[in-house]
Amino acid sequence: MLPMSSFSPKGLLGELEQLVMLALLRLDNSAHAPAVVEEIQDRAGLELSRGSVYVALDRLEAKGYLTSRFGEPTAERGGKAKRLFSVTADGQHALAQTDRAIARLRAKPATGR
Amino acid sequence: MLARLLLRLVPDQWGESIEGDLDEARTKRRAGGRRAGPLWESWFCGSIVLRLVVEGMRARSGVRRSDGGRMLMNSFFFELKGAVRVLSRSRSTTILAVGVLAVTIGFSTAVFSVADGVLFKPLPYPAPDRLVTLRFKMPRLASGISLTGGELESARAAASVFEQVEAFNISGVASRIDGPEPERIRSGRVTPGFLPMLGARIRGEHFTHEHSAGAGAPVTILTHQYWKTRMGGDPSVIGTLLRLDGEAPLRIIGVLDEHFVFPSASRSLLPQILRPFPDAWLQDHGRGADAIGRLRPGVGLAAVPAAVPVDASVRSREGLQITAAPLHERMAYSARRGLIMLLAAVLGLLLIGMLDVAGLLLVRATSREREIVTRRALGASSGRIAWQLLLEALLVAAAGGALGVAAAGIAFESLLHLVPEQFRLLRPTGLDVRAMLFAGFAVLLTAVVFGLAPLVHLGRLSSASRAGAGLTGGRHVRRVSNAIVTGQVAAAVALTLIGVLLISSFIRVRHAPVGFDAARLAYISVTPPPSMLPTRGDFYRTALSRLRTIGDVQGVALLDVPALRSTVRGTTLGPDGGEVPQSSRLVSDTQLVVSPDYFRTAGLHLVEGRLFTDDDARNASGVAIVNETLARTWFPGDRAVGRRLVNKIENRLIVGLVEDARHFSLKEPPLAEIFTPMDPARPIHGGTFVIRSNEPREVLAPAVAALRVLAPTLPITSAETGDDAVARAAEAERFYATLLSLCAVAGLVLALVGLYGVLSWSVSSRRRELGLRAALGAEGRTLATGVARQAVPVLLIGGALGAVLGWWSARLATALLYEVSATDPSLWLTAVAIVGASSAMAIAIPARRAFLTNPAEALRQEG
Repeated sequence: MLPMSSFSPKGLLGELEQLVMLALLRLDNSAHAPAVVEEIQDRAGLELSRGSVYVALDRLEAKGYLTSRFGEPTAERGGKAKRLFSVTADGQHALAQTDRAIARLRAKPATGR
Repeated sequence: MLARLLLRLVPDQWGESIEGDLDEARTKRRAGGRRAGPLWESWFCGSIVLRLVVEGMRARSGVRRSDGGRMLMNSFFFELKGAVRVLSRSRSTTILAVGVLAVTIGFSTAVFSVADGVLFKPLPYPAPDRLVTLRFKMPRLASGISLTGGELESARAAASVFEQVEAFNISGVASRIDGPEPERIRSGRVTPGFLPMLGARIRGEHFTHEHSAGAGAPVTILTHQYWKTRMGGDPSVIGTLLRLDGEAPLRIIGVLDEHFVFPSASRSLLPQILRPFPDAWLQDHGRGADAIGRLRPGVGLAAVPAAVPVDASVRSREGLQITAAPLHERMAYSARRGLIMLLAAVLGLLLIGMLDVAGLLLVRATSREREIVTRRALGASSGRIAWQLLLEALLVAAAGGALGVAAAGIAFESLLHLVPEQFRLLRPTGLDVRAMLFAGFAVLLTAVVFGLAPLVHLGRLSSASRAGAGLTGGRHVRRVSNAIVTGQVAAAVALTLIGVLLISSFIRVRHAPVGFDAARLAYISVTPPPSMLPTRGDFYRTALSRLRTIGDVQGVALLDVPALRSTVRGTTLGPDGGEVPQSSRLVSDTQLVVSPDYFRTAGLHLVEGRLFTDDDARNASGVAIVNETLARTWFPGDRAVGRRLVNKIENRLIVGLVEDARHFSLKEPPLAEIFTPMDPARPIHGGTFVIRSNEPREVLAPAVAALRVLAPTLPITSAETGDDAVARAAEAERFYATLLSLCAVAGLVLALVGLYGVLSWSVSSRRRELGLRAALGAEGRTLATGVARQAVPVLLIGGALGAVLGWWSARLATALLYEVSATDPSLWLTAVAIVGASSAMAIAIPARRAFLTNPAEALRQEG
């Protein structure tokens, strides 16, 4: 179980947030919470606690990295709508930033240092 | 359901989507062939909602978590889960603690709610503490009787004392002939201002002065209960007529509100319909007005007798006055002491439960000291450890509290069934929230204090070097545990003692010698409706002979009061030669009209003289039979047979003396009773058939049927066997005995759990020592007795303390005890034996474990 990383106010994303956003992007950038949980489980093999995913989605939306809307109710949901999340442009930007930062630290130092 | 509750906590931005996610997940699970019951639903919702809620709280309070890079987890939810994990490791202690809490909170809340509902709730009337009942007090009658119309007017005129005075009378009956069967209805009379004074709400109209004056057709207001049960709660009956036998029909002008409580001490004779007091009655001199007044603010009870003079016709007699008593007291007066006793028992139970939890937590704490010391050595701060211990304690308290509340609900419903008729007035309406909060707070406090107990020892310990050795804290803890269990044993002993006393009292009451052969009797009470009044003499005669023909009936007689029910009627007869002796003024007297063979039928034995004959019936006003109590008090030192009883119009010769019997109450000593034969010229109005048979239950139905054939419109008030009547009369005692013994049993069980816990822990923690001693040749028996011996001082001291506590509380309970002495040695021995036997069981199990100590195994374990 992945502990939730602390949010940095500067906008760098924690691990859980990255996972959630990447999963969303894989799901055509429109999915509800259970689908995200399932996608992370299937693709990354990580069983996250449901609660932490929901919380992450909420927070990311609060920061403007995600946007949400209510979708169509279906019979199997007892007629209740889904809350669908999508990654915003800001969110994509933050994701890219985080990627770059990690990649740079990971890159091997030039020989001779 | 829990899930539903949780879903209500979902923050707004999620709308219904989480509920939809639940439905979706449920469908998927079921499709996959897995179960999706309420437990799973609660877990599903809980895992999401609780996180969201916690995050919401965090965001609002702006808490920033700092990650100091420590190994220990720092998320609240994870801490919670950690606490759960720790608790489930010592599963039995946790379950025990939760169970103890549940029983304690549940039971004490339920009992308190029942007791509080009857005792402490303020009367449901406006300004209830200024409401008083006005009674006419005579020296020979303990409780006072009702007022005359003139006295009522005097009270109303005393404007400086009373704000308002109204009256009621509930002894009326009417015979309704609308329904499928003739029905005897209890009809009450009230003055027009009575219902408004008590804040009663009416659907329809109130009574007015015009109604009392008799203008227009007679009217009635129905009580809510009657309206609901007999008229189907149909609002359209207002305005229609209620047809009666032998009287003009009543126009229904209103229905009383459901929550109105009639201010009468007698709960079994509540009126079903109300009618206005006719002005004409109030101008009469007869007594029958039960008056209730509201005092002016600041006026005391003592001002009443001076302000309200007695009726002119009795003013010459000494010692007569009109007194006032608080209404609340009159309505619950017999209940007060018993309920205080119950509350004390509940507190005792709460105490035992708290001590139990304390002991359990303490014991568990010592077994974790090692772990705590280790963590401390690894750098965890005391604050962190304290927080974690607190969390565990809070979890236990929360689980126990939740279970306890649920248990309280169930217990409350069951206890309500036990509340005797006479207490149903101030009916407890539901679980008392204050009680729950009080109990909850008490256990929370205990859990917190003792959950943090290990920290006390942390302060004394030096560094990690001590971690390996036995901790000095152990001995200290043992002392505290022993003290705790001693306290529990004391409380349990006291409770058991009171329980034994009350059970014994109940048994005595239940089997109180009633004088007549209750086991062989059946009673059928009837009240002839107005249409039957002219022919009632014939009816009774025919009924008596008809009932005699029923198979197995050995005798039938007639009595003019119902068995073991009514309040006492006085008598106007007095001994010839003057006043009733001063000494007998404390004994109530009463007069019963009986058919000649009553005594034989009921099994009342003749002591002297003779019983009534049929001749006496013809000369009915010339003779009387008295009982032993009357003879003893009215004619001390003299023969009663041969003396005379006189009043203004009668002069009766006492021809016989019978043994005492309890016609009215099981607990009061027998009254001074005068029996007079039935006068065929003046037959009694309402009567009770007394039927003697070997199987009284078998003859009840045929007897009732026979009466119905004889008089189809005759309402039958009650039909019960003598045993039923006696059981009914002992209801209050049974109530107390049952509730208190339940408290006692619960207390005893809890105390023994504590004792067992301490001994068990002692054996576990000294396993190494025991193993060593076993290896060195000590016999199992020695080890076992060693453990048992540990319990001895606890039991002795606890028992002694409990005995003192018990003796003190038994003295308080004396008022409740019927013919049982609070210091009866056999009962004390019984209580001691019960506690002793159960303690033996609690000791036996750990002792057996010590006995079976396998040295090799014990030494292999870490000490």
